[in-house]
Amino acid sequence: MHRASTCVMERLLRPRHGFRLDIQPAAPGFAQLGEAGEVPEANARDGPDDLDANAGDEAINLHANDGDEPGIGIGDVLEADPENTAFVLARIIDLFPALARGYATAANAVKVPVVLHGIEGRYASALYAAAAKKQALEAVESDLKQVKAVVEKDAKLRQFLENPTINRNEKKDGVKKMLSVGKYSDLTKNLFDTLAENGRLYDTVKIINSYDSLMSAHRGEVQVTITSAKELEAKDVNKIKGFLSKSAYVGPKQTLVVSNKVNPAILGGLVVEFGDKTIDLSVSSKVNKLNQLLQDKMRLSAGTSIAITLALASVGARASAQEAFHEELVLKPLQDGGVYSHFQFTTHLAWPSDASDSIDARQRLFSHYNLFPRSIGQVLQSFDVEELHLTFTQGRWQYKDWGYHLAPTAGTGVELSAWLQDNNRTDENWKGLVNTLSGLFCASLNFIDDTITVEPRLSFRNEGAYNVHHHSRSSAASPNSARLRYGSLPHENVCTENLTPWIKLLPCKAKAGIASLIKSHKLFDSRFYSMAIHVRPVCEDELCTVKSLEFVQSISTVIDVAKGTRNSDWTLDSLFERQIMEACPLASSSNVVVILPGGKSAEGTYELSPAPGKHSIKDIKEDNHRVAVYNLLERYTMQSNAGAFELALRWTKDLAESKVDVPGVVARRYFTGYGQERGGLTIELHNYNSEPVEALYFDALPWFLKLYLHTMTVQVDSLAVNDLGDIVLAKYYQPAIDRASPAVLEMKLRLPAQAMVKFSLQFDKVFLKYTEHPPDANRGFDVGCAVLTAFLPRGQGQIGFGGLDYLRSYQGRDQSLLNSGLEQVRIYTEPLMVSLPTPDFSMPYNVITLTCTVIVLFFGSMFNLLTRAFEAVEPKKTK
Amino acid sequence: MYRRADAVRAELSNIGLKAATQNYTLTTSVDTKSGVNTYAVFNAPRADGTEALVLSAPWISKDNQLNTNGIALILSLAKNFRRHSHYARDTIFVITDGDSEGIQAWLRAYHGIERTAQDNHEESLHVRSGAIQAALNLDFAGTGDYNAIGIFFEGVNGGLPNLDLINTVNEIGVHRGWTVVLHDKIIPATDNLTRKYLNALHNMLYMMKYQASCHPSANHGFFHKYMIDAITLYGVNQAEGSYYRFSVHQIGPLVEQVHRSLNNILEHLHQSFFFYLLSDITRYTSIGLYMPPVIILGVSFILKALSMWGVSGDLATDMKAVEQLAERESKEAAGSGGGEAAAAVAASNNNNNNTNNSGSSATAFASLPFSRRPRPMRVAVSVIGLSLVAGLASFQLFTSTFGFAGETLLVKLVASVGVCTVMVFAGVSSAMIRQQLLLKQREGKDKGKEKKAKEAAASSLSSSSSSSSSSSSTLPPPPAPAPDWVLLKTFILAMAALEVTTLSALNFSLAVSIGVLIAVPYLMFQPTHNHVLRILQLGTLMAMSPPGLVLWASYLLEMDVSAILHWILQGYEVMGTWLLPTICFVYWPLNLASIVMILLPVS
Repeated sequence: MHRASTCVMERLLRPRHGFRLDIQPAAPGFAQLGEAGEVPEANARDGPDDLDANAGDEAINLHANDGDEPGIGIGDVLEADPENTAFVLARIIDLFPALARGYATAANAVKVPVVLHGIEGRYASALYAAAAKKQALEAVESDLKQVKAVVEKDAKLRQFLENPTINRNEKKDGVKKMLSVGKYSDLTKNLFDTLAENGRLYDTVKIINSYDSLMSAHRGEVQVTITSAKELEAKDVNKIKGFLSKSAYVGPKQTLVVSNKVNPAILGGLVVEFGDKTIDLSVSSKVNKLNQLLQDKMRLSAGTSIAITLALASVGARASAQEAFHEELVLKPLQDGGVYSHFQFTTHLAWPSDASDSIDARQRLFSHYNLFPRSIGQVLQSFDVEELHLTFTQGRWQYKDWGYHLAPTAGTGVELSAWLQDNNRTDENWKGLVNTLSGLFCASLNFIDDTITVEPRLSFRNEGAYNVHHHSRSSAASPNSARLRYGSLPHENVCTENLTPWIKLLPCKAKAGIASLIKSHKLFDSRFYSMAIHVRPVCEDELCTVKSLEFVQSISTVIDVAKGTRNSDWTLDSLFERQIMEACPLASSSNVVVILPGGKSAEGTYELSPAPGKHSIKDIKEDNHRVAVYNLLERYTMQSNAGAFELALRWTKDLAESKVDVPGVVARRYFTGYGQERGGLTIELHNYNSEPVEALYFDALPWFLKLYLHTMTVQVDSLAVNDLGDIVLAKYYQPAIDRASPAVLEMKLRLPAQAMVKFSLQFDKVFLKYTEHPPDANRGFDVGCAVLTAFLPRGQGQIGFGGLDYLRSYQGRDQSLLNSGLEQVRIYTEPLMVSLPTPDFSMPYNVITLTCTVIVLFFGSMFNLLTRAFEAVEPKKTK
Repeated sequence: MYRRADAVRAELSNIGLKAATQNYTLTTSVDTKSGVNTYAVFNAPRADGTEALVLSAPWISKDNQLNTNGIALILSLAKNFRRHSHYARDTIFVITDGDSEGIQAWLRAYHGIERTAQDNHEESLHVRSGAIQAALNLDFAGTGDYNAIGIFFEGVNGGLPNLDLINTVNEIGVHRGWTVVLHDKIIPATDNLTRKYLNALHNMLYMMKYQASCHPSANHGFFHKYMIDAITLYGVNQAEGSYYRFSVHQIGPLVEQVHRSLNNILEHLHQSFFFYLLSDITRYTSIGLYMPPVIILGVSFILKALSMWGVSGDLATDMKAVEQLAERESKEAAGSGGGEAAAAVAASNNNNNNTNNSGSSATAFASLPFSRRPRPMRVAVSVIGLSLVAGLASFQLFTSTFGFAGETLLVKLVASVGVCTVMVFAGVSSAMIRQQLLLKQREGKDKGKEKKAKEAAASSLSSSSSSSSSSSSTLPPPPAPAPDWVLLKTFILAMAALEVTTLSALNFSLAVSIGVLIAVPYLMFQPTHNHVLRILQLGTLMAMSPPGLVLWASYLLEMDVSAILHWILQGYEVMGTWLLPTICFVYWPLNLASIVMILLPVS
């Protein structure tokens, strides 16, 4: 199209030899990968040995007819790749799928032209290999196309394939019947037999799509999508096609299939999606970058002398230790008259890039402190902590009314999870960490002892953007041999004494910037209050050339503005009873982000003042919302006497009856039964999606509930499920040990579309020793929240997408890693209370005890007197 | 019905609570009941939701009026709660349908034990909260004013809530200038001691009446089963008397304050204030005081049973004859002269049972003390067994549906009376026949035995030496066995003691009423030759039998017999009261066995 941009494109499309050299030594399996393309097999490994392999290994053998050919056995479900090599491999594939594609028309027919992931990928690959051997690739393709057409047309058939309550054998017979009608090749029939046997019929359409992509790769087609502001002319398209086909990514026999998408939001230029690779040459992204540059410049040139020195200091600090501090406040008016506010304070500290040895790197990382709080740094250093998440919560998050929260919060009480280096001091370090944090935050964290601490096997995986597991949804162990520890105290009250030390960790404390809004009286009088610190390593760019250690402090609250009235207007002052007088001078970015209610349609029903500038309103289509951004840094550096930042939202019409962001997945858990002897536990998981959703369930139950796993029943929409394996893909259960460790139940689940899955379990209550009762014995014992980790596509009731990384774009940091398709959302159930048999510690009990003691005393002495014969003993004569 | 439930649900969700409705269907042997409950959860903003309190109101009040003020209170309290954030516990508002089925259906579903059968069905709950700590049921009929607040507290099967709950309401009520009374009777204060005493007695008996009937006095009674303390606040509206009247606006703050007190409690109410009798709202009788009477009742049965057991084994029923004999012997001994004879008498008194060395006649040694006679228990055991079977059969008759035309409770009552009559007839006739057979057998034997006895006496006379050797050689004839009625009565009394004492721990008032009712007749009645007396006794027992009591009740309360039966059966089937099982398994068998006992021959 335009010379300059095509030039750039050409340059970009040239293979990056430099990078190749970089990663080769780190990846011993690289050569193999390029040649054979057997990566998923190498990666896919069974989960930890103690995982109850419900879903087990699945042997995919499509050569059932010719017995001499071996089937391809593939490990299932847990795409676990804890080894470093596998980790790096997976990462490379994520970044450069084109490399893995290899040569499409390779001589060996068993080789698959494109390596595909997931269950559907494996089935499709196996089918492709089998078909290639039999030279029936096209025949199978046409079969599958026919099947797909039928399935897409016939809703009943689709339901039959997807319904987990139907027995596997019934399904098998049904599919046989379906295939007996038309003329299908043996391979197709075998495929469906296998799918029915393995209970994977629900993936039929996905498998067919995967096979299609394999076939298109086989034919040498490469999909190219070009996004432009206006529709491109044919000659421009051809020009781009010509450049692309010359690039090293396109093999000699490959053809390009180009499609053109129109998106006016990119303003101008092009975005080329080439396989899995995206080249962003759009004007909008350039404008963004320029904006960022301008802002940075402005901070240096404008403002008073003090501001300059402060800014210089901060820039200088950044130059030396590459540290930066960002403060953001996200406000979202909720449908029920409340306002969700999320304070996030991010400090990131660049990780020395040349450091290969992590211990050395850590030492240098914590040798000098500017913005990063020293108390946290020392804790991390002395207890070998890789990742740390500590959350204090009060109240309950109402998923159905509010959707999902922006950044991870936790269930009521205190939750602590940490990845500790795997050395022989791990448990000791955990104890030390717990006790230190207990002192640091004035909380009873030291009560997280062995009877509470657990090591989740499936849930609570590593976070941080550079971690490939974050994107691949897998549940493997940490890449660099770290151990996870998790503990929670459901009945811990959160109060100002916890908030004060938290504020002390901020560079500007609560004196300036957004943090000056923090007023404990107002915050604690809210419907939900969650205060957290998160420490995690992240990547600063897509290729992860710069890593940094990120320290995030966040407070999320839901303040009830309406309080039962119809008036839900608010100002910052009415919400927090404080004002922002200036941005924190140490901050590199300081933004107030308002998520506007109801998207575009609700415009005109409310009035936001000060009105946001045109360029500060953003439409985020994927999440179905608009945001208004107020840059405080700009405001207070541009105008020396800007005064208080008075943000207000006033409803001009009655609260819009816009549709509530229905959360995709909701979990409930409650006790059943009554009496002090036994009880039941019921877990209800609702999936409101039109697609099945994979989720991880985690529950740690205290030892005094004797769980009976054999009593577990599963119902889908109150119909009993025949085959547990259709719902529970993997299960991990660690039985409790009395007075030593809790019971842990973890399940990897597949929640059917628009259905409620209900688990119920029975348990016995333990009769405690009387010394084990707390002083308030009759209150009952708290049982912490269960956690459901669901992997959801965008726009599922999430307030924002990306969790802690949501605000990266406002901080001027690269957020390209965010564009993964699914977000991991942790849903907490309500905490529960169980009453155990309690002795009556009151008057009658004391009377009985006293009486018994007295009786025993008298009886004993009387008995002694009556039964013993008393004789006079003559003293022995001593010589 | 559904529309009014849905209207309230809409109102509650408008306030900002999570509200839902619950359908239920309950099928009993008599009819099918269905209805819709409405419930809503107020999530305390800052709490963790592990604990909850319940405020409930039935659609229909105790007085069969619409519970307008009660439901209005629920709605306005819900609105008020929404504005505050100080609550430590969630509050669940429940508006229940039906008499008592509604609240039961809701409680079952809340505790996850809902039934899903077609004819017995409770919908699962969509909104939940934590463990329920306490419940207040509001029953304020109509839209008018009230004289006082009445507290109903008796639960199913005589269960009681923690007394602290009642005390709390009283404290708050008195503080606010309310008249708080027990139940629905305003009793004017007097200085007359006798009057006071009678008033207190009246209150206590009123309470015991509820307990003994096993029926709860209002809807709160169903919470007790789930270990939830609950009472009903009732608006007393008496036309007579010049009492100060209170509007519903004054009740709201009172309920709010009681709710707040419950909200502030740190632990579940737990001090052992579950065993009490209330004679006044501020005065209670503790378990230590009320248990001894019922224990004494039980012990009286036990003592009588023990004495009967002793008597049944003893041959010597006539102590005077023994004394006369002893006198005569001593005279004889004195006449014949010699301390030897006196010594022998003493010896015979001391150690020997069956023989008498100085024995004058065969009848003498049969009437001596401590002589044993056999205790054939066959009749007693089989009668008791049969009467239990008859009780079980009538229970089955009452609780099952046969589906023939004209099947009513009255027919069932007649049928069970028939079963019981057959049982009595069978018991009595077989016992009589057995008696006759035994008598004949005995007569045949006695003729032979008399001879032997005379010979033995003669030989013992001739040999004036020690008795032990001779006794072994010449056995006296086996004494006549104890009469069947004695043993039967022993069994009946023992069972009565067992049942009254056991029941007293479970439902004190029921145990007391049964005990008082049966004490005199069961202790005193026994078969006589006097036909008038026998018929009188029989008549009393008949009047005391369950059918007799039902007739009495219908006569005294001017109620239909079938209505009374319906009430009892519904209590069992809908509320799960123990009244019907107690009658069928405890009371009726005893009564039947007593009737048989009266009809048995005297000896």
